Amino acid sequence: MRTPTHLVVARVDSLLLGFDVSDVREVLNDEDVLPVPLTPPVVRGLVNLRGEVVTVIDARTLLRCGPRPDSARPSNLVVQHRRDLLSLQVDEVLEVAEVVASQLGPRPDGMVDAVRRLAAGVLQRDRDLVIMVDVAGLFEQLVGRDDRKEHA
Amino acid sequence: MSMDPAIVAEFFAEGNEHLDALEACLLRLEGNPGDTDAIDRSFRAAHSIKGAAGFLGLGAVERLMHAAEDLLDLFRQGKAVIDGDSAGALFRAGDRCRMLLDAARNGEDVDVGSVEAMVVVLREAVARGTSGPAASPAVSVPVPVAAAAPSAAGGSVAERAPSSAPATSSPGGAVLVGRAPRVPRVVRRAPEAAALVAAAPAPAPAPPAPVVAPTVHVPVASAVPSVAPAATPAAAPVAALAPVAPAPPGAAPRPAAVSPAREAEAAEARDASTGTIRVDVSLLDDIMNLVGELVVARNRLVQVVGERDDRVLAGASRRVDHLTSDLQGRVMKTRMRPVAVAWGALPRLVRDVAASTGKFVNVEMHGQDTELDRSLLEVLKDPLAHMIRNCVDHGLETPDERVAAGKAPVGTISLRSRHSGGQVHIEVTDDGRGIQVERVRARAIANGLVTADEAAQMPEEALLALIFRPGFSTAETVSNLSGRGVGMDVVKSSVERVGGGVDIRSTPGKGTTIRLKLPLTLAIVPALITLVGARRFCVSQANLVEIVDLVTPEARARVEWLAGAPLYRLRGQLLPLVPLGTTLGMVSAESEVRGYVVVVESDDLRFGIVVDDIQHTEEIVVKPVGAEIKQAQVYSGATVLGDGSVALILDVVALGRRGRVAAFRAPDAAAAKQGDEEGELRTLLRLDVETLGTVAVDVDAVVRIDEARAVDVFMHGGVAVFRYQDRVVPLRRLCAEGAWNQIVVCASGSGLVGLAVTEVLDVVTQPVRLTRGLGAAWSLGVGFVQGQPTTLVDVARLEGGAS
Repeated sequence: MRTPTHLVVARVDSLLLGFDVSDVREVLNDEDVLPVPLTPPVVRGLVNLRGEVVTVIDARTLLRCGPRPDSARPSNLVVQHRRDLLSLQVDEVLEVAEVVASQLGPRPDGMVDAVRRLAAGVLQRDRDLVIMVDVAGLFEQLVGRDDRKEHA
Repeated sequence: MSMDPAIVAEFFAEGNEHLDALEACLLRLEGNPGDTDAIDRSFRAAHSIKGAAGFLGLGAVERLMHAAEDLLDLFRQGKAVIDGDSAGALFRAGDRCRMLLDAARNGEDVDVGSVEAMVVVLREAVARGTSGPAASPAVSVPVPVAAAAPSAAGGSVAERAPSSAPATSSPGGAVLVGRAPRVPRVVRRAPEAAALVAAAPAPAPAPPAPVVAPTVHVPVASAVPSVAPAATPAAAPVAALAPVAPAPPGAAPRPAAVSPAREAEAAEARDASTGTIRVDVSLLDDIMNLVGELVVARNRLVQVVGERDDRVLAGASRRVDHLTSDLQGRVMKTRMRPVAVAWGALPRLVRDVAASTGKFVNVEMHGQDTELDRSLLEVLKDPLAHMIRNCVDHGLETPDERVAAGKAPVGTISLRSRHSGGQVHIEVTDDGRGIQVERVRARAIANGLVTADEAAQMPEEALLALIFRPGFSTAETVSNLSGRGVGMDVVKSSVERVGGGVDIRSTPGKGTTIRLKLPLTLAIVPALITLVGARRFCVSQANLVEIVDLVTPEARARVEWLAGAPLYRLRGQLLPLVPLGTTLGMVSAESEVRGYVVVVESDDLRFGIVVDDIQHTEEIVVKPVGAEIKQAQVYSGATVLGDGSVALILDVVALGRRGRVAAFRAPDAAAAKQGDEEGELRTLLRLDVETLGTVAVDVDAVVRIDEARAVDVFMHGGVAVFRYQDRVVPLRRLCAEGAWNQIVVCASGSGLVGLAVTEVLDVVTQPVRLTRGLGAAWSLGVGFVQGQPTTLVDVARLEGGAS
């Protein structure tokens, strides 16, 4: 993955996730999500993105963070990989941060597996640590999960 | 190199068209080497590609087409006549060129070595052609016999396809769909000759052979990588001397010949006369998507306007409504392509498969102009190729076998296409050996698809349908072409995925027909919007049969339970029900069914989907969904409805499978027709009774089926009775205590009676011829049901016996 210049930073539980701005299509709030029965818990449902039907993935389930408090209103971060779209439901979208080369680091050891699988690297800022998400890997992981299911 | 990208894109598009034309002409030439028009066209095609490739600096393409052009020029000037080897070389040169073009377009590296090898092969062919007229006798001149009787001797008279040129079939193994009746190059009448030809080497890659037997041309392919140009002079004269031994005329294997050039010609003519323009397919897709959005917005507008009382607004909205529909129709039309596009590659495929199996095949095409959506043509490509491969490899016999069976040595495969009832029907028919039902049965049992008992009871039609099951293959030997047990199931699943169906008919010794039924388009389909709770689910109208409401208690009383699964008695037939809410896990299982039954049919499956409410029908735009949704295996896609909300589209076949209703087949139309001659048509609930065998009850008499353990049986006055809705009902135990597991409650004129049986089997509709006076006192008679002797229960007598 090439190094992005700007990251869209979102919060999921206590984790900060950074997405390359060029991978982010848009941020949706208060969208009606249609739940889809018989899909795994990580699939929240489907959403209408101006005529395109996009699958909503719950970042908390994906990252094994535990359920979101009922009062919280999640945001949907729509990311794009090639022609595919995916909406990642996060707790909130915080900011767009500039990537400073000196702050870049490889993904540290000791991350939870679920988080490590998505991490392309980290951005070590003064006050916090942003996990840079490998969007291509995210799509692959979701497809990979299907395969395992079919072979089981 | 800086080059206008539009020009480059044009070159690639045109290059592929020229290659298509080249291939089509070569196929024609194989049927008739003297076809000067085809020679000219193929020469021009090679020349055009060469010229443009030189202009764009594609040296490999240029060299390859230059060599091809040299060879074609020989034929053009009449210095040599095209034979199987040179045709084979030109075919492969075309293939190689296509690969080069693809590689160049994708910016990939080119394997120059293989191009050079191909150039060498072509030059060899040129050398052979120029080495003297000795080559010509091998390649016989059109034979007058065939010319005199172009169609009758072939055993099949090709039908005249709508708006197509006369199609003539002849015994020479060539189908000639062209403007003038043409004569095949070689006529093979004697079976020995046919066998000999079949034994000749196929133009398949073989180890490089130093020139061998004097009777046989060195297969062109064998010369490929390692034969150096130095070898050419030595090889050429020997090859040129070819038919020294008693070889049949035209020993080179050239088993299939077809000329599908009509389409290419027609397209050319259209282009020239009406001034068409080339439009990027992705642009058409974008336009289609926008029209889809417009349809959704229109639906919304019409809905909102309908809620108001404004005549001016209503008028404007109606106008938008009509224009949108018009636009939708036109845009759909731009996506329509003739089925010939999907058929284009088939003659070549037939040629190659026929060559490697030593068979002779005619290909007939009817209705090439039938149009369908281009996305469907994509879907069709692989299934068609597979079916054709199967036809040639398994369906058709070898020439010896055909002659022994009293048929012409040349087999025929016909492709037919037509519009029928808003669908496109495509039939692939061969006149081969047909499918032997007994072998299908044996193979299905051997592969564990069905048990011997099940197979013994299956009607012929159901047995034939087994070839569409995964893991089925009847080929005695697994060839490299087909017969690996994958295939027909893929054909079926890909066709069903787009809302189509497949059926198969076969007559042993006569041939097989496989029919594909496809929708005209995939993009926008009419659908019924149903509700479960507040959620909407769409059912394609293509699957919809009728809607039954369960509002009245009388209607609800027609719901029966069989082993915990609900059934609905619809006009004497038990219809399995799939309550959508519980099947999708949205609500917990209920003991009562309410709402509406949406009766659907797909393939041979007919069942009822139970929903809470029905909304309306709407034209929906089918949106693809991601793999994470598809894995649920109940949805075929999603859509955005008029109000902007998302709704799921149900995959009816998968839903039926999930609801486990596959055991119930739709009533058999063929069986219904037979009814008059072969006994009364009955719909029966089949029951297994230990020690007695199979017993059947008319479904109209069946009230309810219960698990025996859920019923308390009492002895009263020496008679077994049980409670059913606060009534005492006598129980007839047809088998010993402990051997019965289910109780079938039957009604007769005067009351109810319970029938204790070992197992409830299924519901079948078929004609039954009864032999009366056989079996127990309560027997109406004994007849064959599903191939098994079965006692039909006379419920009235049963009741009398019990009380």
